Amino acid sequence: MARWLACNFILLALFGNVRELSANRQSLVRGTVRDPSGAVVPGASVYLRGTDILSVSGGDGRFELSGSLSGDATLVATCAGFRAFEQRISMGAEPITVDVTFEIEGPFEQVHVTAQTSNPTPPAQLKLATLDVLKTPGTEADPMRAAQMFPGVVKVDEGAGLFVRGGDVSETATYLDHARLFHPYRYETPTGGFFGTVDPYLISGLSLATGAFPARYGDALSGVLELTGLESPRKTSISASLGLGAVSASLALPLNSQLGLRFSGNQTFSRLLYEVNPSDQHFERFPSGSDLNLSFYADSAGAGRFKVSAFTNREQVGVELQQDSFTGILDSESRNRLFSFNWQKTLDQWLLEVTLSSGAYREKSSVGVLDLTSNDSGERIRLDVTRYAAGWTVRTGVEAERRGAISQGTIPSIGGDLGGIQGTRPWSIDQSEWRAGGYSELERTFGRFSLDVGARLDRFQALRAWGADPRATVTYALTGKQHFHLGWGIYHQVPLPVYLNREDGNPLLQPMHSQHLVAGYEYGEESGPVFLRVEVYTKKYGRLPLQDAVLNFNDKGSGSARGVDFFLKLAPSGPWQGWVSYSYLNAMRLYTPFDDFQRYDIPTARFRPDFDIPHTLQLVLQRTLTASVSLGASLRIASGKPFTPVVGSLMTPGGFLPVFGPINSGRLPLYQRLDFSLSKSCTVAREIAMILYLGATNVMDHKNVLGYVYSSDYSHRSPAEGAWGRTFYFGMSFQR
Amino acid sequence: MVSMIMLSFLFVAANEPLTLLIARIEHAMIAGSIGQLEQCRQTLLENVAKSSGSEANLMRYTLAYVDWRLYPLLMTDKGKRGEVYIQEAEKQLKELVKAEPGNAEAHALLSTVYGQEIGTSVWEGMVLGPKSSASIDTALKLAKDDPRVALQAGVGAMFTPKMFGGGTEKAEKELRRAEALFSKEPTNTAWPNWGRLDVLAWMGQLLASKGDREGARAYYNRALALEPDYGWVRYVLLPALDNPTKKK
Repeated sequence: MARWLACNFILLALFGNVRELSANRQSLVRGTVRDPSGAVVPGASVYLRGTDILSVSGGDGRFELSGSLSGDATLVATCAGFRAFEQRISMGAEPITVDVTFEIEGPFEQVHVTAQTSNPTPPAQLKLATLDVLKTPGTEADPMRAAQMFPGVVKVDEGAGLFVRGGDVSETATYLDHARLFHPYRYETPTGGFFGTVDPYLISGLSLATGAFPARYGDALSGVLELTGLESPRKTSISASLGLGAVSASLALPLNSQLGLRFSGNQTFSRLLYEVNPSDQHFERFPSGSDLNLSFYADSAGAGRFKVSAFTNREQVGVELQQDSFTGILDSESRNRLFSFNWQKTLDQWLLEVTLSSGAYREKSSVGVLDLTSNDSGERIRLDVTRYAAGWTVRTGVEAERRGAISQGTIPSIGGDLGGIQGTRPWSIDQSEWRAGGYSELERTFGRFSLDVGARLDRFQALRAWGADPRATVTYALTGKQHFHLGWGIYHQVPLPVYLNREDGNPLLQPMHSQHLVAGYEYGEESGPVFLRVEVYTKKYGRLPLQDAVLNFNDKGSGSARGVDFFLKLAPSGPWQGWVSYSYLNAMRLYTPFDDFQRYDIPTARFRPDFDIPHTLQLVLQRTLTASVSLGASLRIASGKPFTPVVGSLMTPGGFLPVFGPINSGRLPLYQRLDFSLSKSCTVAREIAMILYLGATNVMDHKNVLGYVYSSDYSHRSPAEGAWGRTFYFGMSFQR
Repeated sequence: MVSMIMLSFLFVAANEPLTLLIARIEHAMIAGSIGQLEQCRQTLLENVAKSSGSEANLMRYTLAYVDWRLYPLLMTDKGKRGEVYIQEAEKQLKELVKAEPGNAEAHALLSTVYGQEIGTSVWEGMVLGPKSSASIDTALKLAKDDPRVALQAGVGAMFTPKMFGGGTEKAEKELRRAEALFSKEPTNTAWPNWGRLDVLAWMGQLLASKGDREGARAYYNRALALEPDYGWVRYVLLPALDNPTKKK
């Protein structure tokens, strides 16, 4: 229905006012309307183009047009079942006669939906609408957690981090309307964070590319998450939500025919949630935060479409943290800001889009001996040009970005030694990285084959290095519903700023790179009643940061990932809908996560990284119970993640030091979680809609083990279970 | 339903201006002329006020039809007049289905009006979506083979999530059925007889959304062959085929 609206909206802009011919004297056109056999046609509309002079032929087929006109005009006659009749006429002083003879409608070319021209979903890419994000149980209405439901994405803990097909969370780039989010998570952890930064009500949907993504995406080794922001409001609306853990409000306000405004605010307060759902987790400060978002829209037929957005959020938490034998309070405060400007303009066959964005992230955190204050910032400009013509789609663009990281404080001498048993050292970095790049893509369908080839070139200025990335995807349409696809590409990404620090890192590191090869079979469409996708992939990683006895880090690390993703979505007519996915992953790496610097012996052979989760099974079911009530359930069963066992301990004057076995040679028990959600919508007044929702996560109260903690002498270990046992939450939302 | 068609025949025979009024409405819709549609609307309001019974019901339907056509044209007005019109359409149609529970055309148009009110709002979708579905289901039960009912069922399905009974496949099935039904409907069918152009425009959009640009072009050209001044198709949908990012 939105399209129906939009179509007519533009229709009005194009020719909302019927043009008037010069009016200076009376004129008359008369005639008779007949079909090809000569029979008169009653009820035909006859009019002069561009005027409101109109008549309808009578029972005898006759019509008359009168008005005050001069000059040339076009007479048009239409009637159901016939092709339109057109004739140029000259309006003179005398009445003129025009006899209309219709031709029968058709014959027309047979219209087929052909496999050759159908548009399959790009390889390794799946999409979710906002409604799916909100309704899918277990996502806590968070876009990042919803994206975790896709095949190929593994969970390494209870957080929202996107670990894509054997890639680290830092290797998935997140964009909001082409503006890159350098800190896309709230309550950040080394595995991402607990929620996504972007509220689901700020976006209209998301798509996640898990491999072989096209050349327009740079500086990402493993995946790309694109969040699509809301468009300019078309009507005034106010909404408010009240839940167990948050209150929020939003306003959508069209200012006039070309300008619009959206504003939203959100305040989270988890204390009540934890009091309703007691857990063993100890908080000094319950997680809380607030965010504000303001977007301004302008749409001008001549100047194009503009969107300016500003987003800011603050959050804080004081929570007990356990690592190895250390137990202490992690106290953290952070603030995240993003400003973005987007301009789109269509010029004939060309679409131009310019995006400027600027972000700043500030965090102060302390736990044990670690005490850091960090200020990250980034600016980015991007120009994309797209042309569709004669069956070809051409995309090209350039981008430049700066990413800065300033951090100061104290850290443990040995990674992970939060108790500071082996001492501490000062920490200070001030690192900036410039990157500039350009890309081109060509897309075309040849019979049953669709081809998308492209390449990008990036300059990593601080590293004094170039990255050249050719990429290609070919799709073969076997039948109208079946496709095979093959995607390949090379990808580069700059290491995180901490690796490039002169004191503790190595500024001479080169950009990391990876190579993807994806082959898949697809049946149906994502929006159809049956959609099946099976993909096999293999990836190679090179130049990963690896601890070095002399250089701190070198770029001799490497890695590989192989796997299979299976995705079956069923949406038959009726109240049921659901999907099942299974992912197999075999990932190996030789690298050193920065937080593990000097924690273990320098590895000499590849090992299983934390995100090597061999088996992940996900089942999501949704059912509409009545027209206004829906129920959802999701089940996730996954292999436990690898962990590095402690095989002994050494007594030192500062305390016991762990003696680790081979890196990630152990594996945690199976992860299981079953979630339910129930929602009901209704109208509480004529114009006020209300939605009531109830959710239950981990309803089986399965004690998922996310790691092990140890006694002070490392003689005993006990499982560290997830913070979330069985948890209930509920709330209500209103909109007018 | 039958009574409405009969009345329309009688009214057309007895009162020429209605035929002309309908022609003006359709002409204004094709040209996207707000002024002309509002003039027609004013005439219809007067007709509703001074008529009664079945005649008034036909006027109510026509008034709602004009209000529904006006609403998207007034989106640049940011909701003021358009909101009034679409709410008036809903009100008139609710009264009509109350008076004529068997009027499938009215149920179908009411479903479409609800759909129009939903727009892109997830919220309103949750409240009005079930009402829209219920109305079109009623219309289909009453007159499954009415081409306008099939057309509106198809368009509604395009914007309804699958789990709520919509989806592309259902939309295509209904739109193709509507196309076939329109080809069988006598060309001199009395009012309401709109929809022949709509079904072609929507079939084109559906094919375009599936990547079949040439199929879509064929449908758009068919629409233009019937009505060369159909601006939505000529100036919006056809250009968008060569530039899919262009706003429709």
